[in-house]
Formats: sequence, structure tokens, C-alpha cells
Amino acid sequence: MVGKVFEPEACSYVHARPGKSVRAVAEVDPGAHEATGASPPSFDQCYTTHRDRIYRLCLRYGGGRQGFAEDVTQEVFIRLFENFDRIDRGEPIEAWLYAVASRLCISRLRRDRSFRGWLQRVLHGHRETSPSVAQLFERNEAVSAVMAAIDRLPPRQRVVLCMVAFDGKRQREIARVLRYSEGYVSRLLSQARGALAAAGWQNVGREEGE
Amino acid sequence: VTRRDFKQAIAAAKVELGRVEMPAPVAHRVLRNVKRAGRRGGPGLALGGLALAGACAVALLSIVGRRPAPPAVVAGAAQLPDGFESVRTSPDLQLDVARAGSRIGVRSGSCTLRVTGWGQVTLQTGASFAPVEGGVELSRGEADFEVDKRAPGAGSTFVRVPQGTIEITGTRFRVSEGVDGGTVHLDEGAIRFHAPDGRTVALTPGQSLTWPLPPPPSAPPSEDAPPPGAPPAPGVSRTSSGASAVLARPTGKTPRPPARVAPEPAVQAAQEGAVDATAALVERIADLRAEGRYDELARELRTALARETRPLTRERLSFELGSVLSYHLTDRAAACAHWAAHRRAFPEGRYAQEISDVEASIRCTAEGSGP
Repeated sequence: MVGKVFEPEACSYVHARPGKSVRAVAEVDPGAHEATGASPPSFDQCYTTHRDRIYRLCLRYGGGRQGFAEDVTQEVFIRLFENFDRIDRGEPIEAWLYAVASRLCISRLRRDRSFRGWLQRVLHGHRETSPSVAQLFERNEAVSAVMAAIDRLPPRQRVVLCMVAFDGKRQREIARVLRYSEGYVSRLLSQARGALAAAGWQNVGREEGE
Repeated sequence: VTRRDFKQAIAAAKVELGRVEMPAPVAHRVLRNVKRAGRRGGPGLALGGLALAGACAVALLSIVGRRPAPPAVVAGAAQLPDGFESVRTSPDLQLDVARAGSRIGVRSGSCTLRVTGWGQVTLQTGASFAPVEGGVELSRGEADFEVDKRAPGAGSTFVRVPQGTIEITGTRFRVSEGVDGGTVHLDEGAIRFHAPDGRTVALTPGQSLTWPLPPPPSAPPSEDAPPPGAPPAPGVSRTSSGASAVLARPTGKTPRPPARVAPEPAVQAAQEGAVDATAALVERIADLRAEGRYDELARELRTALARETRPLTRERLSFELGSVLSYHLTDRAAACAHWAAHRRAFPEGRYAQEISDVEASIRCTAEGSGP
């Protein structure tokens, strides 16, 4: 029997494997924690479980800038905090967080590139006080170079490319997460690859499973 | 233009980024900000505001419409409040019974009452007594108590007096509460008196204790019981036999109700120490990495790995060491051997995908050796 079961430690529902009869008993999705007798996760548990994953995602999309990652991660968890009681627990919370984080990254990247973002940086003297990951790992030239190349892409192209290259997402999934059409995702991806190829990168073609 | 391999660089970036965790101070700051922001705003704000306004209105109405407490009435044993049962009464008994609550005062005479689920109390003229949550309260007068045997796991109960709390573990004793202080004499069992300043005095049968307790001596008293022949603890008088040891021990604990579990200081200190050591190690690793001192970094990681016992931290350190060997020291043979050992040590490891990527990029064989 295969079913969704609640994993309190993971703050998430996972698919039980056949043979794990005890866990597979819980077939009820939304209240699986009730069926298993486990208490539903608190916000703090979810935060502790998922913060590093979201932080890394924001680092990837933000070109390794830690300030950016911190800000967006904070915004993601504010959304979670505000909607915690209304989120459908029948779905893995990772998917919700991933979608929100991806969309917020695009918004934030676009805002940073806008005149308003530039003005804010000038007026508030905003700058990255913490070194970016690319700087931290500057001895690894390939990593620095690829992060810098991705950082030069426009926000939507960058996020779509990262979702494919880092997260192994398919175009259909990306379209659903970002609420774009598949055609638009395809176009963004193609533009991003074109830009990378023009910058001297090879092997930027279609990923497996794409 | 040098042609660089995008996929290979991405695989390396995955490894580098895969081991990044949100620094602890950042995680703490973000959580704090999230909760602050969540409290300030959000869709629930309007509802919360309405609820708050409603609660204020109700509170205001209750204050405005509050009438003075109803006066006590004089009653006999037949008109006891709920929770009391008369056992013995003197013929001249007159009780003040509050209209609200369960407090009773003995205007004249004496009575022995059974307090449901707690025990038996004999109240003398002038006593004012009430059951409270988890125990009873004697605010003035003199009373004898016989507490029911507590059910296993029920914990102790207490008699609260104006200047302290007497913790009871199943016993018979007498309490006198005057205007400026009081006395307890223990007949059977064991009790502890908790003074408001945190001092605790334990009594054994035959002992009496008077409160308020005299001021504590300037030198901190020992946790151990005093040696035989030592003077009695403050406020404790010995019985005529004088055989029982004095158990006065200022423990600094708060009175029993409500029971509170404080973290063990030693455990807390150990946890804090471990966190500090890990934080120092992370900082050191970051410094060595930033300065490009990879040989030293690898040595540091090996030492830490040998010392570390927590499985998750071991896995992380091992992963860090592997990535240094793979990408910075470019010692492929050592890196491949390390990854093979890592897989054996952490077969269900968190970094399986990243390690596969690294092994592919540096072309390790299945046996864990380099090309």
C-alpha cells in the first residue's frame, strides 16, 4: 500500500513505500498527522526544517549574494507565517515554499534592476556587507565564473535557467510554479542559453528529462 | 574566448552551494523578523484588531459594572460551601462563609472539615482558610492538617501562608498563622517550607519552623546537610530528642506551585559549549577558505572529524573535506578514496546527489580510486 504519510520531523508529507505497513496506514492526506497520531508541525519546526533549503535556493537565483538570500528567505517565511493555518497540508509544504521563493526571487531581482531599486541603493547606501558565495569560493574559478554569468542574465531568464540547471525542473513544472505559459518558459530558457553561449559557455543545451 | 563547460561548472556550483547553510545568527534574526512582521501585519490583522477591540470593550464593561464583593454571611457547619464536608464541629461554631468562592473563616469555636480530594483540616477560632488550585491557603489563624496519601505521580501539594508555601509530601502537621508570621509543627511525614526569597527549609517529624525566616548568613551555605551537632537552620527548632538531623537547605528553588522544570545547568552549559565550538569551527573554516589555505583547511577538517561524535556534523565535515580535496587540492586519488569512504560511512547521506556529481566531474571509478 502506498500513501502519503506525515513526517513531523520533515514538516512534510511523504509517500510511504510499499512494505512499510505501519506508516502506509495513513492514507488521509490533509489530516495525516491526526491519523498517525503525530502532532501537526509548528511554524518553528517548518522554519528549522526548510530554512537552509530556501536560503540555498535564493543564493542560487541571486548569484550567490547572501544579503539577497537572507531578504528573500525572510519574505518567504513571512508569507508562510501569515498563511500557516490556511495552507493545504495535503500538499508537500516544500512545493509551496519553492513556488513562493521562486516568484519572490524574480520580483526582487526585477526590483533591484529597476530605477527604484537603483534609487534605493543610492539613497540608503545599500551594499552587500557579506561576501557572496562566488567570492567565498573564488579559488574555484569555474563556480565563480558560472555564478557571475548567471548573475548577468535578466531575472526571469536567470530563474528559469536555474530551475532547469540546478533544480532539474521540466518546462511544464516551471510554467506551473511561475504561472507562465510553457511557450514563454521555453523562450526564456532559449534566450538564457543563447546569452551563455555568446559569453563563451559550451554544453548549455537541453538538459536530460527536459 | 575560452570555451568553458557549463554543465561541469554547474555540477561544481551545486556542490559548493549544496553545503551552504544559513548562518545561525542569520537564522535567528530572520525568525525574529518573521514573527515581528507576522504580528504587525498580515491578513489576520483586521480580525485580530476586532478581537482586541471586543476584548477591551468586555473588560471595560466588567470593570464599570463591577459590584463590590458580597459580604460574608455567618453560617453553621450545615451551610458549608461546595468542596467541604463537616467531620466534627464544636457547639459554638460560627463560620464566615464568602458568598463567592470557597473561603471560610472561623468566627468562634472550631471545626474539622474534609476538603474534597485533598485531606482534612481542623480550624481554630480566627482561622481563615480556602482551597486553591493544587493545594490550600491559610491566610490567618491556626489549623491542623492531615493530607490524604497522594496518588503515584500526583506530585506534592501545599499549604500557602502569607509569607511562604509549605510543600507537603503526605503528612500530619499544625500551622499557626499570626499577624506578622507563623509556625508549623510537623507530626508525621515530611514537609518543606518555601520562603518568598527562594530559601527552602525541610522539616522532619517533631520539628517546628517559625516564619518569617531570619535573614540568611552572608556566606553561602553548603548544599550538604550540616554535620551532626551543627546548630539548627534558621527558624528551625529541634524536638526534645534532638536526634533528627536538621534539613535546612537554602536550595534557591521557587515554591512548588506552579511546578516548573528548569534546564539542568550542566546540560545547558554542555549544549552551549558544543554550539560555541561548532560556531568557532565554522568561522575558522570560512577564514581558511577565504585565505585559500586549503592544506591547512583539510588538516583542520580531519582533526575536527576525528573529534566529532554527532553524526550529522560528521557527515557535513566529511563532505566539506571531500570538496576541498576534489576542487582545491585537486588530489583526485585522495578525493575519490574519500568519497568512497564517505559513502560507506553515510549510506543514506544528505549529499548523495552532490557527491555523484563531484565523482563524475573528477572521474572517480566505482572502486573509489582516481583515474
